[in-house]
Parts: sequence; C-alpha cells; structure tokens
Amino acid sequence: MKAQRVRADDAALLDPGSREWDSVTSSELALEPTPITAQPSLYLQAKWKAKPYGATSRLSVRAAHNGERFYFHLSWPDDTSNDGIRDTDQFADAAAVLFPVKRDAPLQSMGSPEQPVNAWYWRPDGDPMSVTASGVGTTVRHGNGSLQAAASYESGGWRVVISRPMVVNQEGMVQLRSSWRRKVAFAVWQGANQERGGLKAVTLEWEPLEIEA
Amino acid sequence: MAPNPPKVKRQLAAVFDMNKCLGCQTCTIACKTLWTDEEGMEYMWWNIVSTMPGKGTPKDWQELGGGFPNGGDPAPSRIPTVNEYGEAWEFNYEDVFYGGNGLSKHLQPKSGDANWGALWDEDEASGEYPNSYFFYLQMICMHCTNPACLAACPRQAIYKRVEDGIVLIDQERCNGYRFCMEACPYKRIYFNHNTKVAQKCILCYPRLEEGVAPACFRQCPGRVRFLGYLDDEDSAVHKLVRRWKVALPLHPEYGTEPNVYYVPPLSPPSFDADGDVIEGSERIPRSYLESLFGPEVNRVLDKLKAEMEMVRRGEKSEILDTLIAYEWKHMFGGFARDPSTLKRPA
Repeated sequence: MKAQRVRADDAALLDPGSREWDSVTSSELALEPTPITAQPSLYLQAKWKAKPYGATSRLSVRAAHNGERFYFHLSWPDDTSNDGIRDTDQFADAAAVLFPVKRDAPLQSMGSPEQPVNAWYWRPDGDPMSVTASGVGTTVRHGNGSLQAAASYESGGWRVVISRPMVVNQEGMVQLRSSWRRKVAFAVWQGANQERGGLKAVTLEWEPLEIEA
Repeated sequence: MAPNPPKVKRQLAAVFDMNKCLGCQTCTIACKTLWTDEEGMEYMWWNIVSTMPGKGTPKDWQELGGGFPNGGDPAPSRIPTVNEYGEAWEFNYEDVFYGGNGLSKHLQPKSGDANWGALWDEDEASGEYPNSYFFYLQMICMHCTNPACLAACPRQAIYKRVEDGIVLIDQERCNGYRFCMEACPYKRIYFNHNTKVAQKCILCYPRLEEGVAPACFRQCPGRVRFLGYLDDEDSAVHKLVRRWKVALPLHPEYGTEPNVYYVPPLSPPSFDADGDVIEGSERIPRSYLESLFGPEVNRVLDKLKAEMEMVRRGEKSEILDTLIAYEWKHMFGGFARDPSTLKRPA
C-alpha cells in the first residue's frame, strides 16, 4: 500500500467525504476473524467457538500524507450503525490501524515484550486513542496521542479518517517519515455482534506501507 | 476444566443468616449511598435483597449460565440488559404533586411502560394461602475462591487480593469489554455508563483496612451478617462454616466456590384443610432449597431444628447463641471499630 503525498489542508483531508480522497488510490483488503484459539480466556473460547465473529470481511483503505500529518481513510460496509453504548449489552463499532513500533513485531500476538506495537483506535462514541501493546491482553491506552478522527455513517457503511502528525514526541509511538517503508495492519469491530477486544475482523498479515517522498 | 484458582494467603468470608432478615433493604441503601450514588451508577445495586422464590436481580439470573458448572469448562452466558437489572426510573413527581393534577395524573416512570424493575417481585409469595411462603436472599459479590469473572477477563483487570481474597476490578486496566458480566454466574457485576468500565461490590475494603465492617454488615438492623477470616478459629464465620457446618454456599454447582455462606431458612409449619397446624411439616419445599444450596441443606436444617429442640428442653446451644448474636461486636471477626472514630478524607 502506498501513502500518497497530497497537497491538501488538514480540514479537507479530515473530511471522509472530501473530494481530495478521490485522487488517492484505494486498497481493498480482506479481513478474517482473529483465530478462536488466540482468544485469551477460556470463557471467550467457550462462548464464541460456535458463534461467528469478525463479521466484517472487507475494508477499503486509502493512505495519504502532506508532509506534516498522516491520514488513513477507512471504509467498510456495515448494516447497523452502533455509535454508542446505550445498554449494558451493547457495543460500539470500532476500527484500528496497527503498526509495529520496531521492525518485526509479531502481528497475531499484538506484539511482544521486546517488540511492541502501536494502534490508532477509533470508536464513534469518543476521542480516538493511541494504544500500545506488547502481547495479547496487554493493551495500554495513552489518551488521544495527537490523533484526530472524523467519521460518517451513510448508505450502509462507515467512512472514517484517522490522522496523526507523522512524528510525535512520545515514547512507544510509531514514527512516520517521507520515503520510509513501514508495515501496517487493520482491525474492524462490529458492535451489533458484540465484538470487542480480541473479537474482531483483522488483516492476518502485515501490509507493507510505502510512504511517498 | 475450570482454571486453577488464584492463590491467596487468607480468605475473608461472610455468613448471612436468612432466618433473621427483615427484607428492610437497609443494607441495600447503606451500600447505595456509600458507593453507587454517582452518575452512570444509577441502576447499580452492589447489594440487593431479593424475594425467593422469585426471579431475583437481575431478572432470572439463575437461568443465565456462567461459572464453571460442576468444576468443568466455563459455561457461556450473556450480559443482562439495564431493564433486566432494573432501570433507575425518573418519576413524574412534578406532574402529580404540583398544578392541581393530583386527581387526574398518577405516579409513573417518565420513560413510559414499566414491566420490570429491581425488586419488581418483592414480597410476592409462592404456594397457596394459607400455606404461602417466601424468604429473603441477600446478595453481594461472592468474592469467589475461583472467580469466573477473573478468569474471563482477557486483560487481567480483575484480581484477588493475596492478603484477604477480596476480588477487585482494576478501574484503570478495565476496558469495558464486560466478559466478566457474562461469566459471573451470580450476575453481581454492573457496567458504569459514565466511566464505561465494570464495577461491583468491593466488600468495603477501605473500611476493612481501618478495622470497620462493610456498610451493609454494620448497618443491618437484623444482625444477619457475619464477617471473618475462614481460618480465624475465633471468628463466628469460621465456627458457622467450618466447625458446625451450618452455613452453605449458594449454588455450589456453579463451581466458583463463593465466599458468602448462607444459613438456610427454616419454615413455619403448613396448615391442613381444617386450618390446623400439621405438626412437623415445613412450608418451604426442601426440593426448592436443595435447588439453591444443594442436598447439604437437609443436614443443615435438621441440625438447626435439633439445636432449637435442645434449647426448648432447657439446654444450651452454642450454635444458636452465635446466630442470635447477643453482642454485635462478636459478629465481625475483629472488624468492629466504630466508623465515627475514623478521620474523614479531606
């Protein structure tokens, strides 16, 4: 996947419906449920072994930057907009972009103690969050970490832009620079199906990310 | 198989004597005003006293699954809805009490039709008059030896304190996934709609750390609630649970080894068709009590009846004297400090 360099201002790129995004090439990614055996509690495995999760099977991703900020435009079909938690048994839709902080962090285990990962996590009912992890069940939320996001739900799907300065002065966060090559992975949670935590649809491999000079 | 229980050095436990409970909910309000009176917690009842036989709180919690049935694999369950827990309704007080509408409007929840709430079936009896019966079931977090909530959490946000076995949810680590709310077979965990994390009874650990019994224990006018370390041979809890074995866990088949024990309810006798007492009869069916406490309940009830018979003969019963709790300070396993002697936090 290529992150195209664009000459557009922040306001335009932060609008998921902006014409600026028309010129950015879209990558169509296949998503799969996280493996049931990777779910970190026996309860989760017992409850979900015969119950489908990871209901979102495809994700369109556009990546762009303007030299200062980096932007992902994510869109996926979703019959139901779950934009908040209105009852104890309800969950919000969500999406995340995941980066290895160091070169070869394992994806399926959400990093390792030596090779942590950094996620940009979006949910419609709150600020985006910067999250780090060094293994399954170890995620730590770090506030918004200079992230910005905007989203719209229309005609049966979500369109989300999530953005961050390419370089941030914060330990453990991914850094992005023009002409670098990084890796990236994606996850989508379907709130209507009570997906949360490890119950999600993911890209099973890292996608190469080429940042245009 | 159920996972191995977390290791602790000591275990605090409670005994609730169901025979003394008035159903006054003073415990419920003591807890509510101390811990769950903030925004997002309106519907929470970390302590609740339900009428049994009944649907309980949340509605039909005994039918929902969870736990490690008979020590086996975790059983799937689901998260009860706010309606099942019982919504904290706002009422139309201003409509009824002001503007001269007293004869035309009636008091009702503002949210419209109400068909269930916390304690909806309070004091509804089972059986046929004059042989109707009910009793009260006092519920808090069971602070289980093998907590299903702890095992279900993918983030290790729930832990069991090594020094006293109290089960706590780390409010910083909790991400609000609510697997714990599913897995707890007693359904004693709530979701805070404001902070978006799971919350439950903490056995008033900040009071315990100052030597004061939990609010629901201390404020119970019926002297229903005993507290103590299970291994403290001087504590009433140890005597009732370990030595005399007259207090039983609720639903032991759930497999989580709860640390709240119950002295099961004795029954008044039944009347026959002529209105005469049937000697030796019991109005609460043993089969129903077995469904709550297992077959051991028969031994305990027979034991309690034998002790009462002893006292009627003029003999002394240490078991009944302990349950009567002539001196309240003897009920709390040493946690008898007067809370008014504590410094209030600034």
